[in-house]
Amino acid sequence: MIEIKKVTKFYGKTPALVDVNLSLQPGIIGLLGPNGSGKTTLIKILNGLLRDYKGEISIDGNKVGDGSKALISYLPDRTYLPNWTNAEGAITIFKDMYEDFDENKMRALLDKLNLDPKQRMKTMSKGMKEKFQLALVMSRNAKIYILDEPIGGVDPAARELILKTILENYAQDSMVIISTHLIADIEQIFDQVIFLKEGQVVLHDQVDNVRSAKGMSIEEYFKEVFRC
Amino acid sequence: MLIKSIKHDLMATYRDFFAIYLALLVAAIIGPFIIQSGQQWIISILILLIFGLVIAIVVVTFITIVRLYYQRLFSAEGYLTLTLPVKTHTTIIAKILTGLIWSLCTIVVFTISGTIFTVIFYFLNESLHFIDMAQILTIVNLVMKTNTFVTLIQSMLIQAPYGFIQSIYSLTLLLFVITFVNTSFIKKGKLAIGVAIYLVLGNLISLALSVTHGAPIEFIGSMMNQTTGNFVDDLSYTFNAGNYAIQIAGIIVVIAILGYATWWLLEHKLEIE
Repeated sequence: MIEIKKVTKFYGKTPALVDVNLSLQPGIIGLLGPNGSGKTTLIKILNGLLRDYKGEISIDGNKVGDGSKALISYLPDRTYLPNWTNAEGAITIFKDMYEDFDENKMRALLDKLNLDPKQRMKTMSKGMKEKFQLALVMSRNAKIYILDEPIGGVDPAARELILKTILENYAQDSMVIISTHLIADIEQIFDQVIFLKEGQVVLHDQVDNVRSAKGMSIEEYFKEVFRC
Repeated sequence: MLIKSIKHDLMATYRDFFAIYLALLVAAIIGPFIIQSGQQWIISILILLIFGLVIAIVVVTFITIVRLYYQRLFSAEGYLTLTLPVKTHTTIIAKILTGLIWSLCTIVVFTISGTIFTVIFYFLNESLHFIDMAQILTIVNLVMKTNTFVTLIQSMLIQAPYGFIQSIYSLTLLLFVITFVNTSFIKKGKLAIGVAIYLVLGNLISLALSVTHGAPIEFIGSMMNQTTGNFVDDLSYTFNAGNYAIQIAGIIVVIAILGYATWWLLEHKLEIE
């Protein structure tokens, strides 16, 4: 579904991704690595926010562009909705722009997440904003979901709710890429994991294979690989 | 998608422009009452304020359009705008048309405010009431029959399409510069570099356009006798269609080049922080 061939990205003289090759198929994929390992850079490239890189990317047969963007439902690691907007405003934007947006699903999710559709972004807490944007993203019936640090800024109780929301709302034949460094909270939902270290892929395998081959959990193996 | 993009850009920015328009309308309504108070110092301050407001409107409109381009594309909001399934050229056209719509709205609100100011001022000042509408219409009728009036109006109408295209050019240049400083080419000092490029490039393009053709309209004679200062109504003009065509073609070519350059930067060099 996603083919990444020899992708290299530099910020000035600093390498962010070096010769990354990945072939990704549907399922829940953990994109793991410490801060600065290149996770967000790779995600930005897949979403067309970074266009100055070397290599080739194919997303369900499309180059990165409006065709691929229609397939991807993307949750960035920051608030991208303006402060003045509320859920109603955001629903209007998503309804207009994405054919696969399900308004009923969005309203049900708002209800489930205890979010007021009339509340403006500027009056929401960080956790509320994250839940609100996640609701928007998961309300699309997309082929690919890319979630950058979806549980990064919320308390453990909210993490559980967010993970539950993800698991209950993605289509079974779709792909979900979740970038995180909070592995313990989330590793039970992964089918595959990718370890990124200093811009290079050091592991891409099924979770069960890693666990059986290494005889440890993903978090334990992660600590071993990335030990300072 | 173009209409939807423009709709959402307008929805995202109308608050900024409504604040400007509200300030203008309030000034137009309150202004004549302050003048009516007759206090010389208040009138002086008001004239300064109106003068400042006129400049502020132009500056604030410009800054708000800059913010529209920067915030919607290259700040956190860009994470939404640039991941929408919209073709790059549609995004560019939407941004330019949105800027154009707000520029035109500003001109309209400005004209309405001026009219409101004049009407209220007329009704508040009894000394002006000796002028009745019939007299005004007679004066207007006489003015409209002068060579000077006809010449000025005709030359303005001829230049109007060019003015409209030039507005599109100004917005395209602005969008190009803002895009350029948000690509992988520029790492630091984006604001200073952006301002410098805007000024230098704008002047270079103006210079290049001015040497490609002569003036499309040339005025002959004058409306006043230079020595006596009397109105002589001897103003006319010549119109050179060839120069006009070259002028318009030149600026359209520049718009196309800047538009393509912006598209290329967004497609190949975009680097959102």
